[in-house]
Amino acid sequence: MIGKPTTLEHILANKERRAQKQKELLAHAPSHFLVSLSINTPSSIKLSHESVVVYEIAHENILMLLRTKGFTCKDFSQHIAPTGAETLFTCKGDAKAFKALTCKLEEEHPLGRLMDIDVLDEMGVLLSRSLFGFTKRRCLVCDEEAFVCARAQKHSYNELNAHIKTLVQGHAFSHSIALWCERAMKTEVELTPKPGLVDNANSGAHHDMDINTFYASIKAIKPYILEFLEAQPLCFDTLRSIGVACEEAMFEATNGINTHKGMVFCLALTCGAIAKLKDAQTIFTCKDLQTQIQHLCEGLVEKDLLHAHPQSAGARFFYETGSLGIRGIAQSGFALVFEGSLPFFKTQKTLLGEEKALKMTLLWLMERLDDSTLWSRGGVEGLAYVKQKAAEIRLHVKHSPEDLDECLSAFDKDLTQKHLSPGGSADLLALTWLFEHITE
Amino acid sequence: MSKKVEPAHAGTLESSDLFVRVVPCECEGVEIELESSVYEIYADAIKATILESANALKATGIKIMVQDKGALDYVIKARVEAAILRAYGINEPDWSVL
Repeated sequence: MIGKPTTLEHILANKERRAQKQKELLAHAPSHFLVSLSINTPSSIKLSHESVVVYEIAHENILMLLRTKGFTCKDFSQHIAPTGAETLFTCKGDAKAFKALTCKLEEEHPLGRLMDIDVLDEMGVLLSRSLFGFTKRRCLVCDEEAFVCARAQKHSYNELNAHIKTLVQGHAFSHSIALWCERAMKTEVELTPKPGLVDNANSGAHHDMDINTFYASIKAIKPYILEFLEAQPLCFDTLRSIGVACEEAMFEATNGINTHKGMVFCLALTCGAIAKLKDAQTIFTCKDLQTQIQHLCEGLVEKDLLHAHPQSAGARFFYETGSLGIRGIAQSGFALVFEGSLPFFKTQKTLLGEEKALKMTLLWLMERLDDSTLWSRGGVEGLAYVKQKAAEIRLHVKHSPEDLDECLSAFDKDLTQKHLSPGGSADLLALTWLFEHITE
Repeated sequence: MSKKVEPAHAGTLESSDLFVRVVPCECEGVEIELESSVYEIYADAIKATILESANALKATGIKIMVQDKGALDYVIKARVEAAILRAYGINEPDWSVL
């Protein structure tokens, strides 16, 4: 949904809906006041990546203020739609005192200018900034009063949005990366139909999880992205120990089901590489990232695999398939992605649009990847079968693109019946999407 | 329009929006009452937009009360039209005049 444009009609209808909702909440909670959070986004894309980053930070800040300054938050309701991200908090305490605190947040937080925090007192009266001696809000770009610039449409949308991007890159870089990671995982799981994998329509070859298990898992993983980005000392072992904690949180959220173990490993390394780069630059090339991941993983295969117990899964996978598995891929700096699936995805995207390109890229990966998830369930034969079948389908669809979904659905039934799941390819697909969005 | 007018409203008091109330009145034509955060610079322009929207719908015998928070012209037009149509109880407007 993020990045999808909305219309004037929806924006206006949404403002009225919000005003109505405010009235209802106040009617149901007498002697409570309301805090209404939305984000200033001068664009037809109200739910932009940047606006969601700012929204999440503002939401947390408001909750923290309520908690630490002696207010009671009875409830809050979030509304995430193409018209923007919003929260209505129902609170108890001195509404005016809280308005003073939110004015301070709007003034002093580096992203405060992008936050729009209204406070409605117990009677439903919108409290004004001027009550507390705050001047009218200034323009996003220049020193003029915001009202004046907005009414005169003094600045172009391009200028305003470039300014917002710079603010978010400068003051919420890690949060922005965390949101990209969340979006990558959601994009992968929501892609439908997918062979053998959990998607919007079914659970594929998995009987113990569905898409909600994935949502719970993604929510649990997200806070650890920030920890990967702050890892100290920045090396493989630190990332691995944060990764272990992240896995525990994932298992806790999914009741012991492995949804993203491989993905966590990939994200840990990606974030570690970004952490190496981020002090010097906030925009990087694929080459930058790949090189840093290679550095982080130096000697990984030798250390982990060659010294591993011969009966461990990784070792048996190596002896049976001759493949170094995910460790080998990581040590190459995800060459299979950077030098393979990513350029392929980019080309397909210009031809077919994002959704179809993702499906083609999934097939592309399934053709090539020695996926240990497939091997653990179907052995060497299962792995070979999936590779060959994926290649056949991709060749067919190349000539008859209209058959794509039908072929994928049939392949889904086939793999579900054979109890085969290409989980490794799904992880690398998410990684492909992520790299496409965070590299220049 | 000669249908009976009931009090109605549209919009909100948020920044870049406006709150419009329409009530029946004894007057000839349309009466406008305006408050605006950009009154000094745009009062005449805003009143002209309100009047134009009311005239397009052939509304008479109404008072339009507007609290504007710096809305752009197309927002003013949309909110005023919505409030008048609601006042007349019309769900499907005659799009050709709008």
